[in-house]
Amino acid sequence: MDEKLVRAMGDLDEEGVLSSVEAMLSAGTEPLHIVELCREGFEIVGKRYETREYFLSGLIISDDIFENVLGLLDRSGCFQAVEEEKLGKVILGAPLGDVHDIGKGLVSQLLRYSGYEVIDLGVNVRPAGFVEAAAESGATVVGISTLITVAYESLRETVLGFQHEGLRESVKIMLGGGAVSQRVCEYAGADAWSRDAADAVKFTKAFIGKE
Amino acid sequence: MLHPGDTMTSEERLQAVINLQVPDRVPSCPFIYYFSAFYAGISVHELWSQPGKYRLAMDRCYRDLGPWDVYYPVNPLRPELYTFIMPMKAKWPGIDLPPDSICQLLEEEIMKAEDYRWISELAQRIPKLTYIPFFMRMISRAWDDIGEDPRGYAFILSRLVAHLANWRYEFELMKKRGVTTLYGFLPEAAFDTFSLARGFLEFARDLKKRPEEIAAAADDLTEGYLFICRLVCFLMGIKRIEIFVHRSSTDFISPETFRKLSLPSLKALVEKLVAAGIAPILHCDGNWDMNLEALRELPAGHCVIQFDGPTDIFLAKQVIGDRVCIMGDVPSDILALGSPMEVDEYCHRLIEEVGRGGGYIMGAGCEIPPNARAENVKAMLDSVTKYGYYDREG
Repeated sequence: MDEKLVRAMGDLDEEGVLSSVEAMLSAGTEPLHIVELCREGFEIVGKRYETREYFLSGLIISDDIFENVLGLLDRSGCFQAVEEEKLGKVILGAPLGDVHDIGKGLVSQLLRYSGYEVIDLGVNVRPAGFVEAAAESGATVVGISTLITVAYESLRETVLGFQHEGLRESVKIMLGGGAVSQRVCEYAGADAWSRDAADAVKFTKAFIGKE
Repeated sequence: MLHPGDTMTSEERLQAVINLQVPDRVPSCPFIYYFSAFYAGISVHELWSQPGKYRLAMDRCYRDLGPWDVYYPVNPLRPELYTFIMPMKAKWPGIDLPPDSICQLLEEEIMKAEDYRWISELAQRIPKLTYIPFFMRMISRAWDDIGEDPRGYAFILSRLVAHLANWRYEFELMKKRGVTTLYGFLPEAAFDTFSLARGFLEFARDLKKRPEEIAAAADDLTEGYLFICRLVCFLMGIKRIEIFVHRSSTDFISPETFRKLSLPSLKALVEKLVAAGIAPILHCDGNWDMNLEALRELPAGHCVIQFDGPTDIFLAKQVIGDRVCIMGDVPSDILALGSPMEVDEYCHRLIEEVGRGGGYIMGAGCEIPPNARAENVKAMLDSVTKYGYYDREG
């Protein structure tokens, strides 16, 4: 049954996932074990996204399926959310002047399912907003996503802000979105960049050093 | 002639490359909008709200950095008209944003799931007139003060007429200086329109729950699209149409979904436009590498495809260069942060590889970024005379 659920999740087979969960609940399986299996299935989804077998639309569907599983567990009355130990904290946001958030939302989803705590600052975040959030939360990774070239200055100012506050050594900064490139990464003084959401998880694992 | 070495007019040159013939040289077509405001020292609010200032800003770009062969018009006379093309809520500089910001589109749901069926019903009753009622419904949901009623229709249509009159005037000004205009109208492809108007989260769910409704509605809008494209082309005197395809790349959907749900209605529209003597120009944002083979289904020798950077334009030349004219794709980051030498090198490569044998238009990857360095824009435009003469290449 475990394998069936993992496979159904990996295949984005919502019906298969929900029927497996129902059967497992009836058989008395621990809800947290079910969540863990879904997470394993989600890893398959993430890998298929990386290898371009799945695309953004598929990731959104996987998130919906997982939400429905949580709803089922919740309604079963035997599920108590347990605060799991997170692998680390990541701050995400779109820089000042940019209100696009699809890509950022996707990165947030991938990071959460990979075991990281995500502090999503939203869009149009001023440079000091990233610095303050990192200082307050102790997050060691900051991800900034942008689709517009006029945000380049804001990216640079954000990195400089971390330097001015003496936090640059302790915080890794990654850039994402359609407007970034190696050139932009160097200009801003960030640590990594990618246009692929899945890379944010790789970078975070490498930065934090835990999986 | 724009340059001493030219033997063709800009219009002849553009038509030659669309027809996959070898012109005298590579034509240039910079997609300039926000950049002109920053370059000319006016606010973006002034750029979109004052046509006179827009013209002065473009004129300054043309004089200082041009000339260019083909004018790429994207300036809406009123913000509401933006929604007539891309049905999304937006924040506008000078209204919701500081005057020097760029317009920002919001990913919100303004189209409902039940609208797919409504579109199909509408197309049963008035197949040629579906575009306007569909977009009026979207506009009424994006703008609080515009209703889906006679007053709303009068408001939008009167502004559309004023906009087209303004465009026609601008096109004439460009023509007088030897510059031709890329297109007379610029709709978003039907499938992609739904993706924008539903918001991508909801649209992704629709792709799973109601793919047949999406395909049917997109298909049912074809006649309405064709009608408005033909009408506006006639009014503008330009027999070319830009079709935005913002959401069909693999950045959003799988190649399989593209083939099944997006391509059929896109292809139907393109074929009907070509049959009507109108050349379609597809503005393909995102990564199309995995969809290039499918694009071979478009009629050969009649279409332009503009790529914006994520697509490997050199691969595109190999896969579809014998079928469609390719436009692009000087990357935004080079234009904003690179040097003129780097721009020159990249443009040289574009001309040598993508321009080989004709069928290529020099342009930026999408729009010239607002913060592009002027000397880089000039380097891009200069490259077509420096490297782009076919007779000099032998």
